[in-house]
Amino acid sequence: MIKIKHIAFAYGKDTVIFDDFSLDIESGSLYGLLGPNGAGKTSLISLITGLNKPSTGQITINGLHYGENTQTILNSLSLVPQEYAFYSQLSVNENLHFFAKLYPDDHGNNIAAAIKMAGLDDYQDRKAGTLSGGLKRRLNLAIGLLNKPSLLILDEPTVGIDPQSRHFILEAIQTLNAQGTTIIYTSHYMNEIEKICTRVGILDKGKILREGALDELLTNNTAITINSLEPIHENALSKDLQNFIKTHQLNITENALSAIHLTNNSLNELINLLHKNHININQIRYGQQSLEDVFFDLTHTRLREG
Amino acid sequence: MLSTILKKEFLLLSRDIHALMVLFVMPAAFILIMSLSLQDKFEEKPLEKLKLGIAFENIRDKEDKLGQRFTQIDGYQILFLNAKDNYKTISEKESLAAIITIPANFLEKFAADETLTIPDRIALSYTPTTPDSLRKLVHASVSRILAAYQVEEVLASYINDPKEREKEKAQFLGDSLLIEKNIYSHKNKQPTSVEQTVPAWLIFAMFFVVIPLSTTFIIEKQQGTLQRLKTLPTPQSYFLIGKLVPYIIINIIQMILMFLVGIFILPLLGGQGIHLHSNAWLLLPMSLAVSFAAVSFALLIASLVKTTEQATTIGGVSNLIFAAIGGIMVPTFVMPKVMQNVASLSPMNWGLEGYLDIILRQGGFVDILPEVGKLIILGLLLFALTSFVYKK
Repeated sequence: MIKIKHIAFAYGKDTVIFDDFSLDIESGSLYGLLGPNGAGKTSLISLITGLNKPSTGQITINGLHYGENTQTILNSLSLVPQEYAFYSQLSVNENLHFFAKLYPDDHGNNIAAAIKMAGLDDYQDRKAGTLSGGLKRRLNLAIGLLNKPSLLILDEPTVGIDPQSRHFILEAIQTLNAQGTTIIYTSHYMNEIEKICTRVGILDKGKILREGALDELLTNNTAITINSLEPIHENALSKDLQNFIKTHQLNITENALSAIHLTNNSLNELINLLHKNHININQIRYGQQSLEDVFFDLTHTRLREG
Repeated sequence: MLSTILKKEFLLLSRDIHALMVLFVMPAAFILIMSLSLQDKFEEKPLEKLKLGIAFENIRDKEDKLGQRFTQIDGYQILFLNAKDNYKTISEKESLAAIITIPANFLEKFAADETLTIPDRIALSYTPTTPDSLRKLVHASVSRILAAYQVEEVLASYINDPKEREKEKAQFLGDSLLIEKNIYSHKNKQPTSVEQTVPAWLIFAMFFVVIPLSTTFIIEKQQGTLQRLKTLPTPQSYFLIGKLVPYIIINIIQMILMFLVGIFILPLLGGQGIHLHSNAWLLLPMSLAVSFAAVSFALLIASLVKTTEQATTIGGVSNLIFAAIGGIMVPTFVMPKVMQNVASLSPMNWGLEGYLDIILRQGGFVDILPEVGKLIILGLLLFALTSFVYKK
């Protein structure tokens, strides 16, 4: 269990990242951490991994604090950075042996398991720099598995790779989680988060905007979405329609109107009003919002734009 | 754990052909080119002998026992003249220090111990610009020939044993009463081109580790490898030591190879070789001190900058400045006093002076201790700063 209690953290005096920030992540969860660029994801990861220290508050990992238990904590966690964090001039095997031996208990015995999990059996003697993007990502992951971590932090582990490698990595992550590894997963790909994460936290400007089990998060946002063929400009709409939007708390995005809930009568009234405003309806969609919609509603930012 | 880090650094370095070129081929090429190019400029030229003109009014006096001694005055180049020559023209043409004219009656009257009138005396003729010190030198040389002759004649009258006579003569002339000594000022002794070039470009190359070291360091930073390393339960000081030690070893290999170039390769190409003495073992502590300062400097640059371009620019330019002011590119002995004082601020100069203490002045450990001390203190300061920056 990761417990983050009332932490504050800033770069220098002016750039405050967290102020009284708290978050709990259950052991064994596959936790998706979402947020636009600058939201504080990387800072949060650097605090959890001990790279930075909060100025106030406390972080405990499985009941242990940094300071007196730093070595024990670092032995049990692993960070897989977004970049290819290995030596491109060394072979796959040389890289794995190097990182394995940096632990107090030589983890050379875990190399075979890491290679198998990352599907690198046929590439052990290849220079890391000559691997394809997908294989590099797998090597990046394999290095993170060498200490058989109980907490694995994956920062954008599938950026820039082919669908096969993405699928392979996502499956490997699910397998690791099924084996009991707690995983914190950040990604710009919402469908990945929706596919594999059990809990999600949406972070922006150093605050958790929404946090909970994925199903819960999406169910609470059951919606009706009306897509138009043309962009919708609120100021150009009639007074009646503007009042309707305000009364029913409709959300306008480019060429769509969405609401958490509308009765059939209200929906008919809305369709009539749109017709009077010469807005041609393309599609009416009922059901759960996608994670991306939830994210957008909360942050008013598309993650890809980040 | 530390051995794993060292092994990794060696592997990375051994696969970086550009770094190896910079560290080994560049200084070797510099040493060969500069030593051979500057060989003549550095060579100590023997002082040209002063030219004296000798004119015997009686040409047969040249064969006389005393006359012969004037034809072989030690330390001068003798030019025989005719007493009727135009002294002004010939002294200007031949740059003569003086012209000694032996009058026709001189030898005869001198041997007979007769009083010599002015026309019978040996004439020492100088140009108006001949300095007084030179006049006195020529005067003393001629007087000594005459005095030595007279002493020999007197001694011959009562001492038969030639060895005894020589001993007495030395006593009379003061030879056995004097001893000549050099005022030993080893700092002023000038190196040959190879004695200057080998240590100078070796030090330059040792400081050039800043390029490959910072490149690997910055790649680690940019690729997130450093971030990953910092989340491992490995003492972080190992990573800095892991960078320090391999490059110090590289520097020592550079030292051995560059001196081998100076000792064996340069003579094969027609240059002067470098000669090491029994104190050659001091090259090791000296090189370790230079290397510690150089690698610590490189580590600090590498930990401060963000890109390899910055590292190349800042590291390269500071090395060039250290080299330019430190007597690496221009030897300190040709610098004016002000620049010599400036040179002593450069750590490269400390290293160079240390090496010259060993190979040129044949000094001992005590002689290199000031330079070794300064370099180690600098290295410690830089390493402490690097550790501080690295932990931030």
